[in-house]
Amino acid sequence: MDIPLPEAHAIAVLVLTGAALFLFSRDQIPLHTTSLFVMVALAIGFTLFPFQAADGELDVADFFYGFGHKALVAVCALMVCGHSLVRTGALEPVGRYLAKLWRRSPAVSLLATLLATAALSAFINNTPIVVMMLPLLIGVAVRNNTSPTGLLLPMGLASLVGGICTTIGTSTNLLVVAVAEDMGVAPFQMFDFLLPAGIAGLVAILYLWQIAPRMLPQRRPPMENVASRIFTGQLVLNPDSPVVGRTLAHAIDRTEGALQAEKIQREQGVFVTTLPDVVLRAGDRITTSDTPDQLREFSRLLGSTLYSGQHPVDDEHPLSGAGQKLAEVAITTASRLLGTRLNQAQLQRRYGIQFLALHRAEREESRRSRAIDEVELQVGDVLLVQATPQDLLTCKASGDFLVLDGSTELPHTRKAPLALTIMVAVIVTAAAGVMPIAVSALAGVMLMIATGCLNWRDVTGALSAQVILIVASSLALGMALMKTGGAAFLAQAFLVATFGMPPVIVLAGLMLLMAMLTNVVSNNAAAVIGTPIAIEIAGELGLPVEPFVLGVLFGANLSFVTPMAYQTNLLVMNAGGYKFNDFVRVGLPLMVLMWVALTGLLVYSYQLY
Amino acid sequence: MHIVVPEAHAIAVLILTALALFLFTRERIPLETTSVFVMVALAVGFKLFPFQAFDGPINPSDFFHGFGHKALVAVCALMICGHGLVRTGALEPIGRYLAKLWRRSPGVSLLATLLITAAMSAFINNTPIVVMMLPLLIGVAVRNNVSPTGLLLPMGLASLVGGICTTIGTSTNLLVVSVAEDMGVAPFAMFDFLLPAGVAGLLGIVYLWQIAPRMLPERRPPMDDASSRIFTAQLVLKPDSPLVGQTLAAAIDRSDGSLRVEKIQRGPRTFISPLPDVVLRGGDRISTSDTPAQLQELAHMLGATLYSGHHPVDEQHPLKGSGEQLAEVAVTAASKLRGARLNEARLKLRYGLQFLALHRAERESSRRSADIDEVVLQVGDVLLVQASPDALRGCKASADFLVLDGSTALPRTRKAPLALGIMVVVVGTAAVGLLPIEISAFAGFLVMIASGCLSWREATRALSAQVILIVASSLALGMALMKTGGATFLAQVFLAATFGLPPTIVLGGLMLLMALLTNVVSNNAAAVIGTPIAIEIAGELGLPVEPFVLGVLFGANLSFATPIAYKTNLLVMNAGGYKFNDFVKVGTPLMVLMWLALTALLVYSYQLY
Repeated sequence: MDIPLPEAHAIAVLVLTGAALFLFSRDQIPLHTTSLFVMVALAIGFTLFPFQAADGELDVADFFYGFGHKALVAVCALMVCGHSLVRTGALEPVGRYLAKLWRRSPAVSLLATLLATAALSAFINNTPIVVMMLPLLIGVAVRNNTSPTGLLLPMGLASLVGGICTTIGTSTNLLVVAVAEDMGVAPFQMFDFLLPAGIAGLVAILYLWQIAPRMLPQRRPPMENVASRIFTGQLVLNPDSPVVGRTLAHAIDRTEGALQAEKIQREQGVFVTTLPDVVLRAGDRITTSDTPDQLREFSRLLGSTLYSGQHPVDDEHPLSGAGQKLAEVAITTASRLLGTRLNQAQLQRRYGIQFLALHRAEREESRRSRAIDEVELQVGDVLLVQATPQDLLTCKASGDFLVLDGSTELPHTRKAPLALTIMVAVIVTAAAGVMPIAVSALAGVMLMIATGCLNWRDVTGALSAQVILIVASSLALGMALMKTGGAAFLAQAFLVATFGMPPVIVLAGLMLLMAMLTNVVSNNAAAVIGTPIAIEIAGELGLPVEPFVLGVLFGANLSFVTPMAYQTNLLVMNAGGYKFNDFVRVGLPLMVLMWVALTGLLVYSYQLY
Repeated sequence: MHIVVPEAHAIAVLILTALALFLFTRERIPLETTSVFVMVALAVGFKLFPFQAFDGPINPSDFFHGFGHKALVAVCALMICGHGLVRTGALEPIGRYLAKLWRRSPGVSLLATLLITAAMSAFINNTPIVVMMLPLLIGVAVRNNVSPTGLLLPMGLASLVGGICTTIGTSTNLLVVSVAEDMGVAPFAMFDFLLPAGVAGLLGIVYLWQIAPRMLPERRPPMDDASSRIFTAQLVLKPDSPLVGQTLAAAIDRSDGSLRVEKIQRGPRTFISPLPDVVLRGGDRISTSDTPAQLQELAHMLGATLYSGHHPVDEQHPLKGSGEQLAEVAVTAASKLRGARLNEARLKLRYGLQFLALHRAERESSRRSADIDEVVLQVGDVLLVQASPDALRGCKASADFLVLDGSTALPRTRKAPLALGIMVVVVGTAAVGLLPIEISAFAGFLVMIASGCLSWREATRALSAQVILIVASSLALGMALMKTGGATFLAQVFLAATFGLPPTIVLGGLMLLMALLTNVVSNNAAAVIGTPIAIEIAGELGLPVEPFVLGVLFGANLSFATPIAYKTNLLVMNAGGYKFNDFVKVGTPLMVLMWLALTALLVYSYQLY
């Protein structure tokens, strides 16, 4: 088979596609910057070198139509609706029921959790579901005194498996279906591929239930080391202390500036202002807060006894943190702190929490230091903080953090049933074909706002510039590939590589290619670029289009193998203290399992043998 | 002349248009909500009752195409580029130059300020320019000891006048030009209507320079009343105080619970913890912070002398706010506090600001009280706060507030020349026609991000959900009006009303209608709906299309007469303490002046007589 070399525009677009896919896989370059670059490159390129497509000159303004594409509108509107379920606490009953079940019969509870997660994910954006499930499962593990390792990763993967089942399960599905429809494929109904996806999904859930937990080593939760916890202690000066009769400034000098005196008590109820020139006397109680090691060091340097309240510190009277407790909080996708530096985050002032350490997968956890102040917070970063229970409650309510303290409390408001009803109505009208999903979801957003389930600030918080730009730029790239003939070229290249092989192998190869791409670059980019190629392939082979489109859809959803493949993977990795390899070990067999099962089911249902 | 009654779809769309215009004027309903409502109504309506336009059926998802319209892309990208100029302080040299000029020759300085504001507004989004100019002019007024009333409003209106001059001056211009282009009108180049707009603009500026300041009564700046300022003072108990020998609790009871003790000093450097059961002695110094009136009242009730530091309070030794200063801060459009309640805003914790009073135009300024805490902050609200100079500097850097304290400090970074260079290239390439504005602005956005002039967070903050939704929904409504024949019907009604009148009157009437609409509803909505009507009118009359399109463009920009007509009007009103009527008094003559001048110039240039 001979492949005609595409013309210059197509070659340029292919090169750009290659560059974009490469840039998408770079960690240092934000995905949205790459997306922006792709759109600018396409727009400028086609303005300077106009292209005559089969149906007239390519209008450069068309590259921006992705922003107004119904699939993107649907993705954004569904994200907003999902966010309002979280804000109103509409999913709380599910969490409460599962928590009760875990207390009664842990054996079937994991299965129930996986099934519930998958079922919810089939209709709602994964992120809020994983955000709800993470603290629940950590709480379960804490109560049963087991490690949460065997629970979190299977749950995270179950949410991905569930997302495959309907046209609205993930943004990828919405995109593939919409792009295929644009190209003249008969539109898929919401449950059109529930059968193959559901059967393969059940197999996957069995694997996640019975096999996956055994494959995972016992990982330590990210930071149970309390060496750096901050305690408040009193340094009571001994009569023979070297600083008796000297000024406070002198005492601070002695500790090399590390001592931060909060107050000085001289006798019952009498406090001395902590001015630098105060002269210290024997018996003065200097209150200060620091790590235990540091407190002991102070007490040695200043010739004082360390007291915790009324008692000297010993085994019976350990240092107390004044009602404060340690907690791990994760940065969520809707957090206002995203992208801020630690020193700008003002955690103490805004939330009353004391930052102790930062945990980011792929690197050692870093203690407070000058350099760490400059770190920009990212989704999934876990902070070890110290705070009072009230402050932690505030944190939970703020929506900026996911508090991983094992509690199942979620905000629950009077609006919860209303939000749930709106969401159900959105899905049902779309499933029944009364309204396209983009319209029903946007109507849902309007109702959520009109009824006060959500305010406009929440709406903008729920949207992600990253998702919007990736989708819009992928659509632009997909259009350029299609119109210039680049897609046809790629399809022919693929067909040459698989020449003479049965359709089963072609389909399986396409799905595997997509699955590999999706684990390295963005799923949505892979899906939008893959769909026209799949349609070309089916056309060339004279086979029905649907199985090939579904092959792309399924393949682009198999983002199980790397933590970067999907946003929820990152959340799970950081919350559970997993290593990169844990994902590969559990996710790779799952991917292969789903790939084989889905290929088999597609071939069987469309009789491609 | 006979008017064809339009068919059912057109009638429905006309009713929806009227409803939308009505809802846009309601202040209690957010503009965003109305916009989403319009889109949902159109999409649901046309899905349930499909309509066959002459070029095929209208697809419900077509109504979302506004999100990807090149005009909206250009508006957003230019907003981001303008924000980049502000964040890097690229406009600072202009501010510094003007401040210097004001010191030397106030006579011509107002003219220079107006001209520069107008010139910059012709290329940059108005809001950042007004935000830069406001503190500058207030500072000038404070130094020259005059009221800023005569300066702020003329400056605000000059920025609107300047915005008319180029295709990129306001979002309205971009929209009208690209909607006209969509409908087959030859595209306008950037400076195509500079001549009429510039000549009329100069007239407007002469009016603003010489006449407008005299028409404005001396308004007091919003709050120069310091009676509610909070001071820290010491209440020194007299030996014959009724409280000597009593507990602190008794003292607090005596003050009806209003005394909030910060510390109690008994001898030099000896402090007693303010526990309720502490027994007070003669000579104890109780530190507390409150308003002067309240402090005097406390001193009277407790039988104490009021001290400020070491001296009793008298004429020579007034109360001191411990280095803190009063300042007025306005809530900006990009503020995180927008939409937050005052009690959630945590001004003290986050910014170190002590909130004293809130000023919102249209109502009396409200002092701190229980129910003011529930007030939701809006753009343009002015808060009277008390803070240390450091805290105010922090506020200035935070972009959440515009500090109206008369200082001219602006952020300045090394990237300023780069940001300015990018903006010049964006405007330059578009002006010479090398690239369409949406592409050059989008590329400018990419370069701003890539070169670090702007972070992604700042970029997303520069965008306004309100603008995006209004533009997208107006485009949807405009399309529905056009395709169903509603626009034709409106054009015919307009022609029937002006039947037999010369074209000059028709054009003048159209521009006046637009000007009236724009002062009550959103400019962009008025412009997008007006453009197809103007094109129909020109077609029916057999006259050139351009003057009528420009009539709509100019008319929709004459938003001078009400403070709600344009976002910067609101900012100016609140910062200057203007009343609604001040806008009417100054803005209406300006509107009439510009209307007459622009009509005449259009009639002359297109020889419509």
